[in-house]
Amino acid sequence: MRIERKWFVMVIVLCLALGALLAGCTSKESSETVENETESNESNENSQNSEKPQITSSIYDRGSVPAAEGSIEDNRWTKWIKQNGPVNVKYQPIPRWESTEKFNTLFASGQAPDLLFEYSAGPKDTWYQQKQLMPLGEIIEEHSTDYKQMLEDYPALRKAGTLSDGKLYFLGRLNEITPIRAMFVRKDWLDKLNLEVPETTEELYQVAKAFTEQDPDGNGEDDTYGIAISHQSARTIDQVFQNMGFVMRNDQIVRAWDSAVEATKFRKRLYQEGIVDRDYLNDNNGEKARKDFVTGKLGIYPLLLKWDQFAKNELKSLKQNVPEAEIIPIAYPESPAGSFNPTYQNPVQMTAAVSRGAKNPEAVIKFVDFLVKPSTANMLNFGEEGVHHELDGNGCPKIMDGEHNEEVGYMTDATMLSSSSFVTEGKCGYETMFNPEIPNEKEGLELYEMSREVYFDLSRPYSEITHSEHMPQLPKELDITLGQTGASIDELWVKAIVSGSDYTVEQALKDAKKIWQNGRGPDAEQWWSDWYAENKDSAFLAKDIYGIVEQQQAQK
Amino acid sequence: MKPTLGDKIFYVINYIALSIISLTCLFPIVHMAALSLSDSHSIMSGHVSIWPKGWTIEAYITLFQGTQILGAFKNSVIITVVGVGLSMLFTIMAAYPLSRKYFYARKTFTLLMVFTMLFGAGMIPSYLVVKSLGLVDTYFAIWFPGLISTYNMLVMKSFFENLPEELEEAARIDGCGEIRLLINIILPLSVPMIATLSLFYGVGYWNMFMNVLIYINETDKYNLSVLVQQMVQSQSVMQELNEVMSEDIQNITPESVKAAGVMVMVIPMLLVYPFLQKYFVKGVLIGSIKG
Repeated sequence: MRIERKWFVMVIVLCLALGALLAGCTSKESSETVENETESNESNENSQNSEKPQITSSIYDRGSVPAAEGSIEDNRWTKWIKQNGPVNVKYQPIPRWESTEKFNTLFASGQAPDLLFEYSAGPKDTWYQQKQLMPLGEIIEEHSTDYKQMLEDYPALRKAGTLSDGKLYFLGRLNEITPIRAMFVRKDWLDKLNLEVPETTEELYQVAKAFTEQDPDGNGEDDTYGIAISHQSARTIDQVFQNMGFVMRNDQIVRAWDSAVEATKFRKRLYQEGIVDRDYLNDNNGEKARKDFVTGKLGIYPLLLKWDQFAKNELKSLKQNVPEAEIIPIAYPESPAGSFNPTYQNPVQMTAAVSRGAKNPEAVIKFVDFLVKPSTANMLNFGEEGVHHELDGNGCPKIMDGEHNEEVGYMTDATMLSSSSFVTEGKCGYETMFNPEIPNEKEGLELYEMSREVYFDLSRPYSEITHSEHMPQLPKELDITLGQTGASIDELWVKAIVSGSDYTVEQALKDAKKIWQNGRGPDAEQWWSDWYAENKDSAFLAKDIYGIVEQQQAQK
Repeated sequence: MKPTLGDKIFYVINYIALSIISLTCLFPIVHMAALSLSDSHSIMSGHVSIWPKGWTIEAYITLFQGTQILGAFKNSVIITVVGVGLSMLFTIMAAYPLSRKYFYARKTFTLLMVFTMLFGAGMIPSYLVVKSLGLVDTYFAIWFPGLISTYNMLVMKSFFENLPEELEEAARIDGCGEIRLLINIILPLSVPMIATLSLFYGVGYWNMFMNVLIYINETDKYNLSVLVQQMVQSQSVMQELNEVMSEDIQNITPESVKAAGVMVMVIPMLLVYPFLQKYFVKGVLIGSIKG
């Protein structure tokens, strides 16, 4: 008994001792941080920043800051911002690919930064629903100069930033419009087999069939695919058929069942006749299709792209593998639903909001004004003239190679409020992304010019209601149920494609409608038609995008 | 006993099946290694499988100069070494008294600890606790909330219980106190268990991801997991962007650099394992002293 008690007391004493030790460690740690803070405050005072108001801002962290440059929240450009900006900014890094989780914890613990940057519509909508955001109309009216001017010059910016309660919450930027989807066809194959550019989906099928069966690469082997239908290629083909779920028809929003049927029939035919890779369902990131394309095994490649990146990567590899290959972008062929345009780059992109808890909203807006100035974006993206960049013939900055090369290019996420200089100043458009002295990029530039011809035909309707970033968000519970319903319906289409005559597309449609009925589909239809009736004048829709395209085309 | 024909056939099939299974386990790592040493053209054209094409160590140079990986590596080592030390210390200190039959509160304490295996508070409450203790942005936020893995502690406890009582009695007769008993008699007998649990804790700390992401805000305190995850994630950027595309995707890390990052993350654990492997033979749950 005596031993037991002694033992017990000893353990407790030990625990207390260790606890005290560790507590000592922590308090030391925190006193160190305090010291650091005073230190940094002192250095701030040295650079005469002490009178500037303090704000916090989020910034995406992609782990791509070079080791020698410091970290995303503390490097030469954040120092430059501190010195030249109107406020003292403390950056809160947000891991780019876990931004939702990180923001959620920050909001939950009341530590959200004053200025919030986020690209995706989902989290931004959640903030609004949870009333975490500050309405900005009055603050901008009273304290802003540059952003206020932007709102006046570009009314679309106000339209896109105003939410359903009629107040302005989101801040944004203007982009140059480019097509970001395309359908590439091997021109050399067309010529070789004496085929025309396909203008309807029926012709598209014929061409794809010929590309598969008539040995267009002339190697005597049956090793080519007509067309790719995996991952982003699938999305692109869906746009051709306007198989986009809810679509606009005769000024009404309807569920496009007929488009889904046509798109599925098209795929089923391709699949059954071996015109596409039979394994396409396993290619869930599009890598296989891309590989087939760059190795010269694919005739028609529908994809999502950035033109300059395409020229530097896929086109370059294709030319290396098959030097005689020649590709052209073709207009979306006419489907039973009509002929459409591909997705465009979002011209008015909402990227920022102000947290409701911001203590000094005026200072935040002053900082926003600083960020929208073209000179700020120039400095953050291209650095100093003569050190990091030089101006080309058109007066557009070009990063120079050399020892200072690594010092620029990693702060793009600090420029989420900078509009394209093509839009605001009428110069340095997307073409400057290509270097015409490099043959591949010269060809890429030609492809881009061609794509502007075929994809900016505004007599064709846009396949979607609006750009996906401007689509209204369904109420949460409806969104969740509908997501599940949609997934089950997609499975039916896939089943119809791969099961031959056992399971017809008509049968799939019948089953899909049943699931739709039971899975809150009708509620969603009601919600959409109500939404459109209420918001058709105030929402940012496809016609607004077309208006901006016209403006920008005239500017060229 | 001589193996019969049936036995022989069985062995042959067994060996073939096991070889195939182990090769499938090995393939992803070899493939990653090959990717990290190949040039981007070969990777995009799909020429690389288990042997690098277009040899280049460009990826590793980019990785070490162009990213924070060295700092992250150092952080991972600190988190792991200190974490394993603390966790083992506390696991032993918890397991030993609970394994003593004459410790009168052992049932209560064991129950309290087992309770935490079944019920957890969840992310937000944990975060609030850690925050109010002032641990955010320090590694104590990584070490403390999971200091003792209850499961590991129970394994250790039953290992202690299985040690022969005679040894303990002999030591007591020779005048040994509790602390000395633990340090001089019990612990030397428990080396296999300590090594095994250290590896468990080690792998856990090395791969620690969510806690670092949530509790650490300063990017220069990130560990390898978070950094490598960011690099790998940018691969699926096209998927995420979908129709958005306004982001500057020039920063997407090329395939080979990503693979190199993964290799840097995997190799240290691969190197540690062979040294601890012999203790695994003595087994985690087989326990006790074998003849």
